[in-house]
Amino acid sequence: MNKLVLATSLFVLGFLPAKESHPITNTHRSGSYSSEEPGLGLEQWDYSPRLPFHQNLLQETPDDSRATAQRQESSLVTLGYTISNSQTTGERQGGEDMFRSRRYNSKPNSLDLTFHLLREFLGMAKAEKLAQKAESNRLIMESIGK
Amino acid sequence: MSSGFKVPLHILLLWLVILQGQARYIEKNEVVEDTLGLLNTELKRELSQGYIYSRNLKCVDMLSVDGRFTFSADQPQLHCGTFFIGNPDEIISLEYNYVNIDCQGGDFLKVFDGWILKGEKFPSTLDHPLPTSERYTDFCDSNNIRTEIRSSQNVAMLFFRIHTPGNGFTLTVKKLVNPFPCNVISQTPDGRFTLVIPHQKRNCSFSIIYPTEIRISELTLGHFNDLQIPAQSCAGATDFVQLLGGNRLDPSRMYPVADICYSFSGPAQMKVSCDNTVVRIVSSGKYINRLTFEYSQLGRHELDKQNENGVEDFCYAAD
Repeated sequence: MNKLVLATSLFVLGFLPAKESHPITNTHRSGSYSSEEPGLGLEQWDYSPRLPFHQNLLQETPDDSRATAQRQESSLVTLGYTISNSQTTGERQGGEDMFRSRRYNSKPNSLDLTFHLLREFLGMAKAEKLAQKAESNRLIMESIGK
Repeated sequence: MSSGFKVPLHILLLWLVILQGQARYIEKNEVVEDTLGLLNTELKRELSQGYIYSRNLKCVDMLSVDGRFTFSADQPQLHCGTFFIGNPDEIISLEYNYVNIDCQGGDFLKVFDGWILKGEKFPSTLDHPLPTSERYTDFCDSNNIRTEIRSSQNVAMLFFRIHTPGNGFTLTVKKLVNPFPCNVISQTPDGRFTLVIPHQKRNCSFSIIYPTEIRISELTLGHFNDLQIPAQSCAGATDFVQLLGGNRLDPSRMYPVADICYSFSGPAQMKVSCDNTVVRIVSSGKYINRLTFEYSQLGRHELDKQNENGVEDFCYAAD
């Protein structure tokens, strides 16, 4: 009996073709996605900070507010060097060396923002990030729904 | 049909069914945390390639998102800069896509590895692996042409000056994972973070540019088998934690509020009512040092209250 069972098993294994098994997958997806659809692709984000930037920098007095504004705007970025243009070809090589030397020997560039302004910028950057994430999620959900 | 023949016949039929039937994989159900994990590979690729966030840069700007950003001067712009900031476990990658500036005419385009504010740098020169001169990448420097620039921490800056209207540049910002963050500026006034320095001789600073309450929940300094005896002072300690406060960006120019040079677990809190609070860990490289802390912004009413730590509130008093 046992021999019969064994023989039967060997017979079946030896002569019947084995078929590969495959997972059941849904290979058909309806709809299509295109980056050319409206709202996708490169998109300009209309972003205008509501920060009263120049007003924060200014300590305005009625008399010299304009002069103060110009002075404070120009002091926003501190530069340790000035660049002069070389006009003649003879001076150009020496000018380039001097130019490069000034760059390496110059003080580091800097922005003269207060911590308060820096926090304002951080808040705006965070708001932009959240809005961009929301937009990205909206596009994904739209694609899923198609 | 005899009973002796039925059994092998049934076995035969059973084998036929097994070999011709459809097999199924054991499907493993996972909670998909990533929204895009629900989508197939092709769709994910299309989504990521088809949508790149972009906008125009302003003269002074801050970016915490990935994308492509363009600056075009409508008038001479002589004093401009862009701050980049990412999550604590990220570094910034900048890639120039298009640059049209007149270097010989006085324009410049420089990336700084860190932030500079009023001449003060973060990370400080004591905490950054590169000297200051190497932290600048000047586009106009023909000896150092790089289209992609990476920061060493989660912050970076771009300085630029453009004289000619119509000139400008386009760059792509991406964030890359940093598995062992060291120097960090927090984007938010509240949060929780763990600093791990695994056998590295380096100093790491975590900066929170708000008046803050710090709660250290766990500190491991040195080998965990060592007997940790609270020292009377941290003089001579090779591995220790500093809590700094000040109204400056550079941690090396801030006031030390507290030094901790022994391991402990359990909350230890400190309120620092300065514009900038820094948790700094000095590591000799002999051990794996680990620091976990939470931080939250001090409200205005808390700034007005007397400091509970008994430490003179030098920052707020100075205002």
